[in-house]
Amino acid sequence: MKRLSTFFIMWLCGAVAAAAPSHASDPLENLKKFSDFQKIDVKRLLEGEILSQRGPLMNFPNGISIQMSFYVPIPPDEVFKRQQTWDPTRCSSLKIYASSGLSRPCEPKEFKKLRFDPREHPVKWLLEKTLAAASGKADLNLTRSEAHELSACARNETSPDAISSCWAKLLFARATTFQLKGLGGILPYDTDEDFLYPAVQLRTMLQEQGKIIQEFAPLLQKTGMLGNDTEVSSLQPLYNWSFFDANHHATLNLGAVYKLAVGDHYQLLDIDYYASSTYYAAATLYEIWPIHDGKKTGSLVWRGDFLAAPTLRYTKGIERIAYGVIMIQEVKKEIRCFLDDIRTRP
Amino acid sequence: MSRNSNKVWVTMKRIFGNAFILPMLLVVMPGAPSRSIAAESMSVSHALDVELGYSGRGVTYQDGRNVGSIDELATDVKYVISPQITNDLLLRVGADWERFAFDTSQTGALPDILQHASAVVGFDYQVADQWLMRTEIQPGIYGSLAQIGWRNVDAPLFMGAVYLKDADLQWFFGLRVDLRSQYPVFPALGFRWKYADDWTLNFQLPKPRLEYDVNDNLQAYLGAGVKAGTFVVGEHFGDTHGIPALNNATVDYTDVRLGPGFAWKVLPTVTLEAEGGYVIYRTWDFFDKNVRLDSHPAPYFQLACHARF
Repeated sequence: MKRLSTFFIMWLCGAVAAAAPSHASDPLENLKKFSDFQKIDVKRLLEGEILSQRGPLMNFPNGISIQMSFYVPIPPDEVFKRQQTWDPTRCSSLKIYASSGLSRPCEPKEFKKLRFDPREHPVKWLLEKTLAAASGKADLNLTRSEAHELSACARNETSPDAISSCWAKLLFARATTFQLKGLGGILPYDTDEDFLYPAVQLRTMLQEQGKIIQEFAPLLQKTGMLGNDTEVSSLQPLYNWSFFDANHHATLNLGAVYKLAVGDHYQLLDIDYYASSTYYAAATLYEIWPIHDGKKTGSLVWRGDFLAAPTLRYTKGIERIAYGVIMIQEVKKEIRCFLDDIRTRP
Repeated sequence: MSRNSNKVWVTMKRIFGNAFILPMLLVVMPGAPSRSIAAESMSVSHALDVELGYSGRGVTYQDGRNVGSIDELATDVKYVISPQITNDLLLRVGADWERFAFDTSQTGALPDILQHASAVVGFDYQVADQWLMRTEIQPGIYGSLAQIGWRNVDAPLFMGAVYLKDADLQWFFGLRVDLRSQYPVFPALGFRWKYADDWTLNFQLPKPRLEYDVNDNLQAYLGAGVKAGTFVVGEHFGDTHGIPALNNATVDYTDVRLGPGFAWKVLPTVTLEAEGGYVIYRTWDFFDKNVRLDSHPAPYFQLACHARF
């Protein structure tokens, strides 16, 4: 009987241990399983090194991906909170003019911070493109009716403030639709050749990432990212908008951040479901595990960035490799700004 | 009569040598962009560069003696296919044909044509996080293609590395190794710095430029261009030019141009360039025979087409 009970306890321990990895697994082992980082020196991570890796070529010609991993000296739930409250406009190297969260339902006044300063060359570019939007050749991501409305609105009163109000209306309308209908409600961009759906761009990129999809399956399923447009997210995201310089072009975007607690760690999906120009859509996946450095609990963060941009279709060979390298440098700038903010405002 | 017919032949040779490019372009260009869009694979890239230039007459001196005014037709066609082997490694295989045709009706020891037809073999590699490198060897025939011998065979090596600091600043390091040249190893340093939204200082040899973005598809620039090569002249070149020592001699040709130009992105994959200005420095240096010809500045005009697909 005693033997039997010992056997039962051992079996129970085995069963519990086997189940454990999904909730309280070794973060490094977990990271190695699905990421491109097979050798991780924890000491160097703790010292502040940011690991980076260019993703392989995608079959999807507009897509590019990178992966990064780094250490943040605060626990995972704090990392998420700080990410949402962090003001990236304070970091000048990121060239972000304005950024703000949105409530649900969002209100027009939440876009009040959107102001176009024509002295900024990238903003001047956007003003010119806005006035030319109705021609359909303005390099802006709009539906045909949006292009006409925006152009008419901008021509009605051509002052930068008035044009920024026109854009605020457009962003408000898009954000409201997204809040009501989710990914399925995102209006397509009317390009020369066809309609281009940002949600399709995001799904196509992510579907090529076998191991990552497997790792993030619970989150991606709950957000509707893996399904079709009829699926509505069962997770309530946080909404935001930004106005920034992307490749010397002032660009507006709308984003949503989904969070899922998985045992002792978190998974996040941060999407740009609308971008006014320069790129079509972007998704960033995060996995944030607790990691102990002596008595302190910090976080091991993995992030994968997936970007769909029109120019990538024509960027091949060494130029595409260079594009990936530069994308890594730009994301590193953002991470360093975030880490500096944590250090300087504990 | 024979002198006239020779002149006609030389003129024909200069013109038709360049006309050869047209059928080549007609064959390669039409299929290029559409094929790349149709193909789902992004793992093979193609680069086609075509340049045609004319330099007006520049008074030329051979060791201080005026040998007349020389003009020049310059042609360069380079095609490279680049399959991606691993995430960090790309092969480079292709061909390059460069030709300088000079008006040699004067009395100087000047070859009428200097050209090379070579293969391009090399690779691009990401060496480290922010470092990319290119190594390329161009084995081929360098000299007059009318008389091909072992002495015409050469294989200059080009090595380059780029440090990608960020989207606006990149550093370039280059090395040209040609054992036949007077300067067998020639290093170069350059950078590309987008210091303002519209302005880029693209200081990369052989074409350093100050660029201004007129709009998303049109760029104006003020630039320099260096054309250089090491060639072997024919086995009777010295005899026919009164200096027998120049038979089978090696000559370093260098010209440096300076002028404004425009680059127009007609398609996302194709850029056309037109530039004009002055050839401010031009020399033919038979360095191991102590014979050297130099030209005074002369105007030039150049058209180029660059396709990446």
